[in-house]
Amino acid sequence: MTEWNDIERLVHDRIDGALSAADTAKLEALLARDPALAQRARELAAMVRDLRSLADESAPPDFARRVMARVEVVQAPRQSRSAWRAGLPAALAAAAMIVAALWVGRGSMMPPTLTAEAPAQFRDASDDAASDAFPNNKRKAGAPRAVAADDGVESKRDDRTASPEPGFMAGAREERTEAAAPSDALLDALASTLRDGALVRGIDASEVEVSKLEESELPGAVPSTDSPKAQADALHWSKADGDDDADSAPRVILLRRVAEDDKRRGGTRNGLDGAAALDALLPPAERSNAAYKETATSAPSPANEANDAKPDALVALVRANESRMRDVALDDAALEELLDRARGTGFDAFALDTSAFAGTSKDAEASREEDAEAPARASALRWIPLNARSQSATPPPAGGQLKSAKREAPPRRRTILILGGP
Amino acid sequence: MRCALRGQRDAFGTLVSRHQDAVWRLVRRLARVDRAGADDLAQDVFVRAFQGLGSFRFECPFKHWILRIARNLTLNRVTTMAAKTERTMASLDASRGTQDDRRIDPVDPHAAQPEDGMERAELKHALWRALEKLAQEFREAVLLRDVEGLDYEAIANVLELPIGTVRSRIHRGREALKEILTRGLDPTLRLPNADGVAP
Repeated sequence: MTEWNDIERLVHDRIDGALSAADTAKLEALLARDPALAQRARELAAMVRDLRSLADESAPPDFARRVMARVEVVQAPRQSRSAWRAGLPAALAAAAMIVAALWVGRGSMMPPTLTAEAPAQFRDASDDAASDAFPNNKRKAGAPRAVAADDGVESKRDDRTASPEPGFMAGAREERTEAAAPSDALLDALASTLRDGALVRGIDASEVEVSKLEESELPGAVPSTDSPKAQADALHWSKADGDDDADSAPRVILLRRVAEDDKRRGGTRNGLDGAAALDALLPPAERSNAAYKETATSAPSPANEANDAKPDALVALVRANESRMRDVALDDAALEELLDRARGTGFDAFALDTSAFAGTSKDAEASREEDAEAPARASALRWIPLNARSQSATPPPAGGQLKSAKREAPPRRRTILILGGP
Repeated sequence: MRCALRGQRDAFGTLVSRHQDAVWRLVRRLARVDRAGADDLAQDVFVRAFQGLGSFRFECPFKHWILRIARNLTLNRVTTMAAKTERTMASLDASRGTQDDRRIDPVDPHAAQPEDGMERAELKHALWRALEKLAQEFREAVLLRDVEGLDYEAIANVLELPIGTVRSRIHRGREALKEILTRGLDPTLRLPNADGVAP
């Protein structure tokens, strides 16, 4: 380094405040000896001061809003592979626990749909007849297996554009009030949700790729955290069909729309859906499960972060959200309209838990009376085939019956959409 | 940041608000575009960042990360635009024989910017003009250090360069900038690249 370059470095370092005391003294001595150099150093320092004043130039006032408008329509960020793996165990455990718990069909919070017996026309059909009834299930070996798996990513993307009414998980089995007819917006939301495909909302979608989870874990995968009975029942679900091929088990698709529009409106309840869905799905006994707690508290909820992860607070939010659903009635006419739209979705059957709605159809009410032995929640379940042969004006008999998956083989090769639920 | 990483858009909105000015300034001065051009480019930067949040490793502050995206995206766009301009000019040259003898001069993005006009302080205007005459590698270093106030290590992070190189570029960039300001903003001024001035 030449002497001049050395001096130059000292000058710049002094401007940047990076000069040691010894070098400062050395530079001062040099500048004192050379007025031209001192003048040059002063000019340089003045220029740098002027440059710093340029930082007052700023983006337009509405810049952030325009950025966010664009961000709204792009796909959410994905965790990297390693980050995805980091959260995988808890997420898988929680998801599998949900699935197992649903199939076991126990506990007061248990939705009946997964252990309810399918309607007679589903149950008694021979394989051929079943194939006719469910043409969409005639898949070749190796073909993409799960609607849920295929649609998982898309579903996440479309979550941002669909505008479902909140509270489909509402377990509004309390006293029902006089309810209004469902709005067009609700029907549109339901239809778009059907179109979008499957959602399993037991986990935070940003923590795990739902499509992968469903593909690998549904059905029948049992985490070690489950009880032996849950494991046995879940395994039985697959084996009851006569083979171990997971494809033969019905793909049960839970549709859980919880506080989606809350999230869209401002994110004050972000992350609620994961914990809320667990709350709704798991029987009370399971809620003490460590895996559940971990999943619930890992949800990116402000309530979690601010309140030291208290699931009870989240449950309270869910309850508040449920109350909105009591204003919504789903009578037969509205249901038919909904089904008209649902028939184009590719699903083979449609199970509607009308208990999610304030006004249930007459069929469901009648079924509830006839089937006094069955738990009330089962009587609110409607099984409605969506294939061409079943597109009659009259829906099939409403109401399922709770039966143990161990005792009764589950319907085969069904793609079932369950809407609503407790 | 972690909330944004989980896909929470409102959290990302906070990040946008916090860093929009630095990103906007950097892309505008690196790309040498007008305000509208800087708007588009800076928006692209944030959208790209949102989509790539999953790759953020918390190894550096978010500001450094977003500025790195801004710098890389801007340079890519500048390169692409330069190539397009070159192709356009070549095409015009080829067809010149069959058309009027029209000359299309390259657009100087700084020549016609009414919003940069009389309202700005003369000093700032001169400084911006001088900065934009610096070669890109010196311009970005001086911008990050003297306008944005980043330290050497942060700049090394953004530019993905060794600190020694960063320091050298800052020093040389300042000297070249001072030279430009001293000699005036004559657009015919041409100094060798080694002195840090754009040819």
